[in-house]
Amino acid sequence: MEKKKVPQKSTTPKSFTKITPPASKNTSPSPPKKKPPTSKTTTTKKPTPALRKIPKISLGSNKKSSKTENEKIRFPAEELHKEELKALIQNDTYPKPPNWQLSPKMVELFITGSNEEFPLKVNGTQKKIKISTKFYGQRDLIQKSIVTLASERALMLIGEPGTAKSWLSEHLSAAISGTSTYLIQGTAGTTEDQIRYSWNYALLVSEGPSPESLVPSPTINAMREGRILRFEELTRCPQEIQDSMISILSEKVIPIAELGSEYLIFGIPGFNVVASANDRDRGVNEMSAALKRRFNFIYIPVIQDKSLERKIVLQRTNDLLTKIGFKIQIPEDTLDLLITVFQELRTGRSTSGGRFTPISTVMSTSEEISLLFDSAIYAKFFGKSEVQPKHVAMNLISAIVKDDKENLPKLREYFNMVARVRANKSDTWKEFANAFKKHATY
Amino acid sequence: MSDTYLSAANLKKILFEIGTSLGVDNSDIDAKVDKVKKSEIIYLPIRHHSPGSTILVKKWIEKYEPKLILVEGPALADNLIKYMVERDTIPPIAILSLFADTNNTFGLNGILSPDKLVPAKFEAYYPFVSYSPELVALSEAIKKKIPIHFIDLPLTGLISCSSANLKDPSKKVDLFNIEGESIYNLSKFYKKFAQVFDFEDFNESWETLFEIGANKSDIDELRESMLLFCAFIRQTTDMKILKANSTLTRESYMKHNIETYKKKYKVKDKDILVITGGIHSIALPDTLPQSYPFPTKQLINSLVPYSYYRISQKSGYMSGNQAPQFYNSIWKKFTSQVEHPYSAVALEFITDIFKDARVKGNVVSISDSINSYQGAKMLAMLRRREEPDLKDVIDSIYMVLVKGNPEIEGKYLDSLIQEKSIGYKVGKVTKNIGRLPLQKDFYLQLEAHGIDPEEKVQQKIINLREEAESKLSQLFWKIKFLGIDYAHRLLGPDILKGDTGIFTEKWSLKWNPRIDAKLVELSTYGATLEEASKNMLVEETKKNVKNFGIITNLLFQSLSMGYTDHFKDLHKECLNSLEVDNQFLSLTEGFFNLIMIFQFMAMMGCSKDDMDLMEQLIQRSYYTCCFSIPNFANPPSGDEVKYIDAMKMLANTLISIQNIEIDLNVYIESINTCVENTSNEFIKGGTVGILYLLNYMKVKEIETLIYEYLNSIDSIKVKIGDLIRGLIYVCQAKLIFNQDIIRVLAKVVETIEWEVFSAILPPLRKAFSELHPTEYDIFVEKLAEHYGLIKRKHAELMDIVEEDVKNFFKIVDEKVKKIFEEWFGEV
Repeated sequence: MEKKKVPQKSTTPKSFTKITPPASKNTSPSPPKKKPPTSKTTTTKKPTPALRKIPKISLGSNKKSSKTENEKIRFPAEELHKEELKALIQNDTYPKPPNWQLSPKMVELFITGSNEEFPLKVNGTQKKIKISTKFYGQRDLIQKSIVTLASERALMLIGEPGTAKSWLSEHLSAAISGTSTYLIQGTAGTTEDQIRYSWNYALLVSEGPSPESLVPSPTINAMREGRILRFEELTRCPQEIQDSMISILSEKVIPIAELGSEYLIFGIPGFNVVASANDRDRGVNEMSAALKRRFNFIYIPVIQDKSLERKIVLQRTNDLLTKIGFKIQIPEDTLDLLITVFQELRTGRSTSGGRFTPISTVMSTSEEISLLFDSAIYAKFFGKSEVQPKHVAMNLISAIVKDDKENLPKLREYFNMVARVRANKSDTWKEFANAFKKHATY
Repeated sequence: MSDTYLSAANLKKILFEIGTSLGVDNSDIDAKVDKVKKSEIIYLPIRHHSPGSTILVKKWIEKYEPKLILVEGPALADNLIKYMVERDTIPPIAILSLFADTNNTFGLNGILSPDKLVPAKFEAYYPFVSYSPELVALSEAIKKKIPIHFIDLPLTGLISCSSANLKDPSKKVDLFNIEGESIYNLSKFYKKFAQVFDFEDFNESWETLFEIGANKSDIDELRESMLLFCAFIRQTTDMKILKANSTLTRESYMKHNIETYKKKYKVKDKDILVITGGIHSIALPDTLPQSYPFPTKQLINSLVPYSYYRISQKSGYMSGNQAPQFYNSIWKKFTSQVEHPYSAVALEFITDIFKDARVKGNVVSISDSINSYQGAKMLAMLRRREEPDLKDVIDSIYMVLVKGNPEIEGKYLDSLIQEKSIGYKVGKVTKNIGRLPLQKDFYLQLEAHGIDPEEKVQQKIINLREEAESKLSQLFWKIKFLGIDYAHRLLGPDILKGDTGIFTEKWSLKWNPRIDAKLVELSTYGATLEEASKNMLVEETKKNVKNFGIITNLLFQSLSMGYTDHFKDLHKECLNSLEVDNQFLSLTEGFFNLIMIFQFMAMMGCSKDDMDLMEQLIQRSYYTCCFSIPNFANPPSGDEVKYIDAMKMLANTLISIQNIEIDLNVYIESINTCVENTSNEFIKGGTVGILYLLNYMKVKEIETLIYEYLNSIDSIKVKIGDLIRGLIYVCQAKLIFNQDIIRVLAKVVETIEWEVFSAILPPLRKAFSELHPTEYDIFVEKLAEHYGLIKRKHAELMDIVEEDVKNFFKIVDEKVKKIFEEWFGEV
C-alpha cells in the first residue's frame, strides 16, 4: 500500500503539553569558575547548552569504520538501525511531541516493523528501506508504552525475566531520543549518586563545590537534553535509593544543594524515564506507593502463541550464530521439541492434557534462545553442526536445575509422564528421552 | 491533519488501495455502489445496535420524508410494531419468535428433539435497544404516520430454508445468527483491512469508520462510505457461505416484500426507504424477488423485555453489542448534539470507574483520571481515531491503574468496567400487548392460592401434611422445574440426600420482569403450567434416557410436582434407562435416588401397587449396578476416585437398607471379581478395603497381598504405593491403627530400594495427606510404638475412651427415644 503523506500543521500539537522550565537557561554547568557559586549563579545568562552530541550517523559514506568500531560486541539500537531511523525521520509527517525525533506513529512503526518501504535520501541518492520487526507480540503494549512516554508519567515495563523488557526499552529510547545509552543499571549496590549526581573529588577538594566539579549522572544528561533515561532493574535497588526518583519524576528537577538553594537542574520537554523490573523480583525491594504512582506499568507477558515463539527463538538464535560466523542447522523437529518442552514445563500441563508439577525456574523465551544457542555451539564443536534432541536435553537439565535443585524431581516427573510416552512414537522424543535419562544423574 | 484519522470521509482511497492489492476489480465495486446510489428505491445500509446508523436513519427520514418504510425484521411480527413504540415500552426489548413443530412439518422431530413424539422447538430473539436504527425508524414512522413493515423471513421461513442442513447432524447450522456479521470475518478483504490497521475485531473497525464522527458526517457521504465498505466485503465473501447461511434466500424474500408493499401502497420508488444491514443493501437492487412457503399457524411472535447483559456478547449472542450501556451514553450525546460525543463519554466513563475504584478502597487520584483521559485520547490518535473508543478508554484505565500483571492486579477493574460498559438495564413491555395463555395460567394459579405474583419479595411457609398447602408446594415445584426464576426453596426435606425428617418447606418468592419473557419462551411447551411441565418432563426423560441418575431425579421431581398419575410412565422410562445406561456412576446415583424416593413415597402415602413397582425397580437397579462393577475394574485414568466413591456409597446404602429384600452376596461377588480383574492398584486397594469394612476380608489377607507386591519384580513393586493409597482412602482409621498393618507398612519402607521408594512416594504422601490430622498424629504415635520409641499408652487410653463414648451414646439414644415418643407416639 502506498504511504499516505500527511501535511504537518504544527510541530507541537495541542495534545502534548510543552514543559517550560522556569530557569532552563541555567541548567548547564557553567564554565570553570574560581569561586564557589552563590545564589546569583541562577541568573547568569548563558546560552542554552548544546545538546550532547549523539554519535553522528554516517550514511552512504565510503569511509570505513575503524577496527575498534567494527569489533564492538554489541551495537546500540540507534546504530544498528540507523538507516531505518533516518528513513522514518525523513518520511515522518505526523505530529511529534517536543524534542522527539519521531512521531508516536513512527516510533510504533519502528518497533513493530512494516512491509512498506520508505525512501531514504543520502548524499543525493535515494534508496528504499524496509523497517524490520524489533518486538513481536501485542501491538497494544507498544502503543501504551509510547503514549505513556508522551505523557507526564514514566514508563515501567514489568514481566518475567527474559520477556524482552530491556530490548523494548532500548528500542523505544533509540526511536524517541535517538539514543538508548542514557542508562542506569539497578543493583543492590546502586547509590543515589549514580542516579542524581556525584563530584570530581580532586576539583571539589581544590576548589570547593562548583558546576565544574559536578559529575552529571545519565539522569541529568537526559533531563538537560530532553531525552529518555533508561533505568534497568529498578526494583533491585534498595527502596530508599529508588525513592530518589520521586522528585525527578514529579518535579522534573534536581536541586544541587551544595551549589546553593537556587541551583536547580530542570528537565526539558522530551525527558522521561523507562524503567524495567522483573515480576519475580518485585517482592525483594517493593516499590513505594509514591514511586508507583509516578509510573504507568506495562506488563510484558510470556509469549503463549507457539508459532510466534518458534519464530522468535529461531530468528534470534540465528542472529546470534551469524554474529559469531557460525552456520548450524536447527532441524524443525528439534525446534518443535524445544518449544513444546518449554511451553509444557511453564504451565505444568502437557498438550495432551496431563498435569505435572510446574518448574520454579523462569522458562522465558530468552532462556529458550540461550539454551538453543548453547546447544548449537555444542553441536558445532562436539557434534555434526546440527542441533540434535540430545543437545537440548543436556542443556535443559543445567538450565532448569541451576537455581533450585528441587526442579530435578519435577523434571523427572515430566520426563516420566510425558517425554517417555512420546518416545514410543517419535524418534526425536526418543533421542531426547535417552539423553535425559543419561544426564539427569545428580 | 484529517488524513491522520480513518473515517468515512477518507475511506474510499484506502479501500481501493487494499482492493487493488487483493486483485479486486475496483471498477466493479464502484459500479455496484453507483447502482444502489442511482436506484429510485432508497436502500439505507445500517448496522444493528449502532448509534451511528441510527443517526443516519433519523436524519434521512427527516430530510427525505419517505412515504413507505420497510425494515429488516421478521415479516409476521408487524402486529407488534405499535406496542414496540408505546410510551410505556422501555428498551431493551426483543421480538421473540417461537415455533413447536407438533405436526412434524419439517421432519425434524426425533432429530432436533429427543424423540419422534416430542416436537422440535425453535426460538429466535430479535433484540432492540433505544439506539437500534430499526426501532428509531419504527418510532419515527409511527410519529409521522408513514406506513412501516418488517420484510425479512420469519422464523418458520428460516427453518424451512435450512431444514435440509438441519437434518444432517454433521453440519453445524447457526440458524439464528440472522444478522450474519460473522461472515464479515470470512471476507478476505476484511481480513486484509483488519490486518493493515491492526483492528482487533469487527466492532473496532466499524466504530473507527462509521461511529466516531457520525454525528458530524454528511448523511449522503456516510451512506456511500458504508455501501462501499460493505460492497468490498460482499464481493470478497464466498458465495457458498452466503447461500449456506440463507442470506441469499432472505434477500430474495425481502425483495419480494418490497415489490408487494410497493403495489399495496401505490407509492413511487423514490418514496420507498428500505433499511437493512449494509451487506444486504448492496445486493438488493440486483436481487430477484421470490416468495417461499412456510407454516404460520403455530408460529408465536411476542414482545418480551430484554436486558443489556443478553445483548452484550458476554451472553453468547454473537451479533450483539459488546457494551450496550456505553453506546447508550454515546446515543444520548448524539441526541443532545454534543460536538465530541466519544470524548465526552470517555471522560464520564473514566471518572465513573475511578470513583468506583476509590469507593472500593483503591488509591486513585485526580491525576490518575487526568492521565487516563489524556492516555485514551493519545491512544485514539495512534490508532487513527479522531476520538477515543471503548477500547482506548479501557486500555488507558488499565495502563494507569494497574501496577502489575493485569490478569491478577487488574481483576477488580474487570467487574467495574463490565458494569459500566454493559450495564444491567432490563427493558419493559407495555401491558397493552396482552398475555399468552401460559402467562395467564401462571398469574391465575398464584392468585388462586392468595399470592400477589407481582409483589416484589415474599416468603411462604408450607406444612406438607396439610393437603391444600402441599398443592401450593407442588405449584412451586412446577415453577422451579420449568426454570422460571420466581420460587426458590429455602428450607425443606432434602429427599435425595436422605433427609426426610422435616415436614415444612419455606419458599422465597420474587417477581422480576424476566419472568414474563421466560413464560413466553415456555409457551411452546403448553398453555398451562401443568401441561408445560409434563411436556418438559417427557422431553427431558427422552433426552436423558442413557443416564439413570438423571431419570430417577426426574422421577423424584415428578412426584414433587404431584404427578402420581405419571408414576407408571416414568417407572417404565426408568426400566428403559436401566437397559441402555451402561455407566456405573450414573447407575449407582440412580440406585441411591430410588432408595430415597421409596422412603418419600411411603411418607406421601402412595398406593401399594406403586410401592411394589418401586421395590422391584430398586431390586433390578441393584443387580444392574452390581453386574456393572467388574466392567469398570479399570476406569479411565483420573476417574479412579469417583468409581471407588460410588462403590463405597453403594456399600453404605446396602448396610442401611430396610424393608427391601436384596442379596448382599451379589455385591460381594462383583467386588471380588473387580479385585481379580483390575490392573489399577488404587482400585484394587479400594475394593479390598471395602471387603475389609464389610468383614469379608481379614487383616491377614491384606498383609499377604502387600507382601506379594513387595516380593515381586520392580515394575510391580512400584505399584504398591497406589495399592496402599486405595486401602487407606477407603478404610482410613479403621485399618491403619491396626498394629499388623503398621508392621507391614514399616516393612515396606524398610526393605524397598531407593529407586522404587522414590516412585511410590507421591501416592503414599497423597494417602497420608488425606487423613484427618488427629488420625495422622495417632498413626505416627503408633508407628513410634512399633519401633519402641514410645510406650503403648495412647492405644490403651483410646480403648477406654471408646467404651465411655459407647455408654454415653446409649444414654443419649434412650433420651431421644423418649422425646420422640412424647411427640409422635410409639416410634
